[in-house]
Amino acid sequence: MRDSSVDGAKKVVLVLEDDKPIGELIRSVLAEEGLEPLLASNGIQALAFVREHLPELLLADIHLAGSEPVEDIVHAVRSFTGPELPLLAMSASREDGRAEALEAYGFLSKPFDLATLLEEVQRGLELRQQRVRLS
Amino acid sequence: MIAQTELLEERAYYNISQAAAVLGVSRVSVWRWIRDGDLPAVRLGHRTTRIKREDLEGVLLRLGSKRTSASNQTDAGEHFVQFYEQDAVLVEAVASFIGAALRADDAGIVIGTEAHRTALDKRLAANGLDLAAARASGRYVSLDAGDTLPRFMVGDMPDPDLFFDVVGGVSKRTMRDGRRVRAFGEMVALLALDGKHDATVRLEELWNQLQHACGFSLFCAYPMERLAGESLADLLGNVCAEHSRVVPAESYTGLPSQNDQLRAVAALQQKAIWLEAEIAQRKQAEERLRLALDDERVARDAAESALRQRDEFLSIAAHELKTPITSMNGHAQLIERRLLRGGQLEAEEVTKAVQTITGQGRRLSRLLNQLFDVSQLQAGKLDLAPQRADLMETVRQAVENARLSSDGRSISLAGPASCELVIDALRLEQVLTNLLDNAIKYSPHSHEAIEVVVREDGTTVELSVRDHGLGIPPDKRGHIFERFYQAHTSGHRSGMGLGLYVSRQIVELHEGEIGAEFPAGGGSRFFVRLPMKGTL
Repeated sequence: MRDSSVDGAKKVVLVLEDDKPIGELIRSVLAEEGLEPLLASNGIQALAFVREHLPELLLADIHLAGSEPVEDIVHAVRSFTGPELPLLAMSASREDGRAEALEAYGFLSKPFDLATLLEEVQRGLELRQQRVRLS
Repeated sequence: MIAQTELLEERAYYNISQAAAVLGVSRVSVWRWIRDGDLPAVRLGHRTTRIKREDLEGVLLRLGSKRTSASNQTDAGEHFVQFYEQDAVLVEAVASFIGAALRADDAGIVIGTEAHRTALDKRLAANGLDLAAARASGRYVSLDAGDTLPRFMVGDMPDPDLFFDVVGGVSKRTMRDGRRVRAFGEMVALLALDGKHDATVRLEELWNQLQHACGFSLFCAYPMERLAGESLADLLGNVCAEHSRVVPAESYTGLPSQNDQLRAVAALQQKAIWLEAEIAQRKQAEERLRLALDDERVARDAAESALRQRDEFLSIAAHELKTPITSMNGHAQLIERRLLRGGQLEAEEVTKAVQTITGQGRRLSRLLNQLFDVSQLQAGKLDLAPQRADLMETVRQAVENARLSSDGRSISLAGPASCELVIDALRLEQVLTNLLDNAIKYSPHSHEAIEVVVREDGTTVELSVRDHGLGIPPDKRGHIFERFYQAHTSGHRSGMGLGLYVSRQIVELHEGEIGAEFPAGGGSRFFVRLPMKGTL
């Protein structure tokens, strides 16, 4: 039951965002595109989701408020999903090497257009397919 | 010499001190000359020794006009040093010193530089001495200082055993048949010029030991010009201490009268004092320069730190401003997409999007106002518009607004029904809003209510906001009201670091006090105390 990417099922995208209006916005857009967005605002919520569902993509704000470093959350999530889980990093700050260190395939700079968001998400899902095939 | 002649005319007998003064030597030297029979003395009674005027005259004549070269004053067992300026003066002094020994059928040893030895041989020959014969009979030995020195040096220091073998051996051979020996040496000067000051003083000591054992007269010389300078002052002092007599350079000894010499000494003393003063001044100037450089470094560090702080602030401010813009843009685009797709828009969806957009607009305005306030504060232009108002109404308004964005956390309010004060109500609402924002932001996992309490005791009114969240780490508590300071910065977003700074300024303009306490149970309690009889 943990793998929701079987034919016909919606692809799960885990969204890690602590700014509520932005998180809601992303959830609405992804849902309209036929995806299954799970919105987590901290590490505990994110891990609760990955115990139940296997996401195909992690979309994460890498400058979260709160006391948990985003690196710890990403590593914990990948320990459930496997290292092939593509990460799309986003932030209102400039990329300072953190996204690269987390091996993100893309970086979304806030404020972003919804079209760009969807293109990047699409690219990540394709990447995930390739990685699964290769492994 | 004039003074001495005058003295001699005054009396027939001289005591030892008077004779020493006339001859310009120490009393010990006078005693030595008497002991060795060079100066006849008369015993008058049991303890009185006197010297006849004519005997003193005889000695003065023997010393002759070369009195200033000092070399003829020497006696067995004496080790003197001459500082010289001109090579010719040195050669003349050495020729006189060694020449006297050779003429008296005594012996002379020279360990000098090649140039000095050549000039000396020429000078001695010109004075009618048969150097070849003196050499053949072992009465005259001339060695190169540069060649002899390495024969007893081990590393940078002279080796005592080797020195006594090499130099002592030469001395002993020359002294056979009971000859008296006069020696001139320049190896110490070579070491001094080579910068080996310890070795110089050590070699002087070894010469002293050898001279003590053998009893010859020893003449050392140092070129004055090349031993000048502050760094050589110690060496000069040590060298002088090793000698029984010191002869200053010719510009001093060449002076014709004692009066002139005293003038020269006075001038030199004055010059030395002036130099000391100049050195002290230079050291003071260096110290001032060092302090100025320190100040400059401190100022530069402060300026660089301010620049870093500004850059950091700009990056944080940009982050904070971009976040609400992302929401506003995104929600507007979401509606646009739905319209373009021709879909039906639910009234509820539109309402939600518009509420988000206006909410984020307010957030953006608040951030911009904060930035504007800071620039006003910097320019000293943040003014209050005080008027009589009910503080409770202001507090209720702020709490209501906070509840709208409290993310489900409850906010309780306790206080009197009303509390009339002269205040800038909008500014105080801004303060309370800041405190409530922080309480909500930094208690993300707390389900306990945020408590707002207003208390008054007739003179002061206290308004407090208590949360049960993260609190503030103890090492950061002292800084939270500083500009741009953020207590929670470990990679996390936590505002611009301006809220508490602006709040403090507003409270202080009300002549009030703002502070924070950290109860044992966790979380924070921020309080604002305002005077009730404020005359703003």
